[in-house]
Amino acid sequence: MKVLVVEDEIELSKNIENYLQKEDFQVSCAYDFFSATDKIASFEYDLVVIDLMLPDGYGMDLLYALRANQKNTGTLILSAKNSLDDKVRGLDAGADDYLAKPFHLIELSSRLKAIYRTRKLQGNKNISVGEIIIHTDQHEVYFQDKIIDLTKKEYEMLLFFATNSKRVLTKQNIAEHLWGDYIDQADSFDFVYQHIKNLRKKIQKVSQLDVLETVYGVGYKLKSL
Amino acid sequence: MRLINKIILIFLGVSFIVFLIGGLVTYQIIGNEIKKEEQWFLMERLRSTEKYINRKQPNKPIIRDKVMIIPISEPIKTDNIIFSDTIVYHSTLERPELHNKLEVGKEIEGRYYKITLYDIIIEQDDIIDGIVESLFKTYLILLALVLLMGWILSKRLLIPFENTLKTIKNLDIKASEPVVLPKTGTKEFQRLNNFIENMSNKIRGDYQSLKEFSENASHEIQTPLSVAKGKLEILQDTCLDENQHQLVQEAQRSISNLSKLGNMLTLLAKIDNREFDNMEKINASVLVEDIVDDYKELIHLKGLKLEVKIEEDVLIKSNATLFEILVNNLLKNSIKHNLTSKGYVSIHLNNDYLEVKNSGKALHTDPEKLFGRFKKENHQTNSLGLGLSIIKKICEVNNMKVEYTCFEENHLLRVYFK
Repeated sequence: MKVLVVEDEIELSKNIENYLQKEDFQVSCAYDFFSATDKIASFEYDLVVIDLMLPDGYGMDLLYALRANQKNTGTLILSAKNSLDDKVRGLDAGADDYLAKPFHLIELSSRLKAIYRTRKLQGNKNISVGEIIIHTDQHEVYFQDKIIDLTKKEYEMLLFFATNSKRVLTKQNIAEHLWGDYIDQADSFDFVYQHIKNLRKKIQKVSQLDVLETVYGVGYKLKSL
Repeated sequence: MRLINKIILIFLGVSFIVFLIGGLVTYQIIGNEIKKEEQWFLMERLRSTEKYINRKQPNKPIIRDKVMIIPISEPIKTDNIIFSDTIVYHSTLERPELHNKLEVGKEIEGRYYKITLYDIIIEQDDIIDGIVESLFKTYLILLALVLLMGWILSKRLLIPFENTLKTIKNLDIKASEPVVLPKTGTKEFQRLNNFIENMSNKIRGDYQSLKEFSENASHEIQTPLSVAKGKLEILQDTCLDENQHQLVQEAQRSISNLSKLGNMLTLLAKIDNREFDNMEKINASVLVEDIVDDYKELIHLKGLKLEVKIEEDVLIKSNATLFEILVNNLLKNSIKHNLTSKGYVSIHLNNDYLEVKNSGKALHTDPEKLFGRFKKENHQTNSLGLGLSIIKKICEVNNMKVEYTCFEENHLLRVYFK
């Protein structure tokens, strides 16, 4: 997966680069509007991460440029303004997703993977965790031939684990991924715990497998099956 | 007391004193003038008396009503005219009256005469009466004119001042247009207007830049927070022990709080900036129901009993985004500040109001006070204390009224649509 990160804040850019590289992305960075246009014109990228506020231009214009060139590139907008306006305008301009600063890098990489799945993977959009298969088109989960009946949140949580299979996910990561701003942090950890418990139970019932591992004091991790 | 009335009163007081002094001066001048005139008259009469004596050359004294001619054999001092006042019986008036008396010795054709002439004096009382009467009438005319003028002038002259007052009263420092006061020909008012224009523009400018600052600051804060968050996440990926993980997570939590704070302040600033001014008719029933659905899971997870009573097709006039934020905040609050066991949330919507009732710890402070920014009942919680002030602000701009009452462990927030 080739990703272009257009972000003028060099430290943040480095964070993203560093993190995504570990997730096996091929990352290149552009720190201003001009070099971003240049790179988009010269190279093919699977995904472009665009900060809306750039010193020499407006990130939204990059979106138009991409769409004008009819490139099948997945786009994700970063914005310091957590405003509905920006979000709506960005999505209208053809962005695939929107992320308000500050964000978890894990959230960014999960969303990029999701965009990549829907845009780039034509045939096989299934993700497998051992013998458990997640059908991302139908939002269904199977163990061998048996369906595992999950609620929407449980499904999202499993998908989150599956896309970040090598990582330990903290309760905060999970809570913010599932509920975003809706939830108060003090409560969220109990909720995450309950969901984890239910998810484990449901998978165990069908597959006799315990897919999740508790990392004490940190969070949860997908067991390598 | 109005300024013009004060001026009139002072003016009338001063003119009263001037009239008093003027009366005295007039009295003095008229008195002197009359005296001179009378003396001159007596001198005239003296001359004709001399002519008369010259013709008749009387031997015996002649005593008439106003003339006394006494021939004297011895030589006397002549031409020593003495004026004096005396009281003489007035024959026609039949009573003693104050007279002017002229006494002189004369030598005519070798004989000596003592001549005494009388003439009635115009009485001082009469002069005073005349002066007082005329001055009093003048004063009355002056009074009438001054009052009339004052009334007219206050209507006309003070128009610019009244306009200025009106403008100041309606001054809105949030307005984007500068204050413009109409030009006036009066120098003082022009100075006042200039001063007010400059001052209000300065205040507006300061307010604007402060507002912009707080808005930009809350924006700009998000990028460095992203950097910090990212660094922590990368740190989390390295080999940390449980304790270190705990520390990183706590730092993450604080960053999230700071970011949320920035977002909330931005929201408040935006509402202040009237960025949500477009009002529309919205179906509150559908909207509230949708939002309640979003929270059902959380309410369930927290083990709260939910009771929803939403009347159908409640139409209200409000900004849709703000109303959504309002309902979200109300629900979030009711869940967040609920009891840990046997709590409930009850939502009630009808044409008059939206009511969110929930259980929660009894309050120690006045519930109305919690509408202030950064006011919270319990400082231990990681709540920011901005939720209620956002609710209040939204109600303000949407012409709604919010009421918070608390009875023991029951909290009731009601938003009246009006």
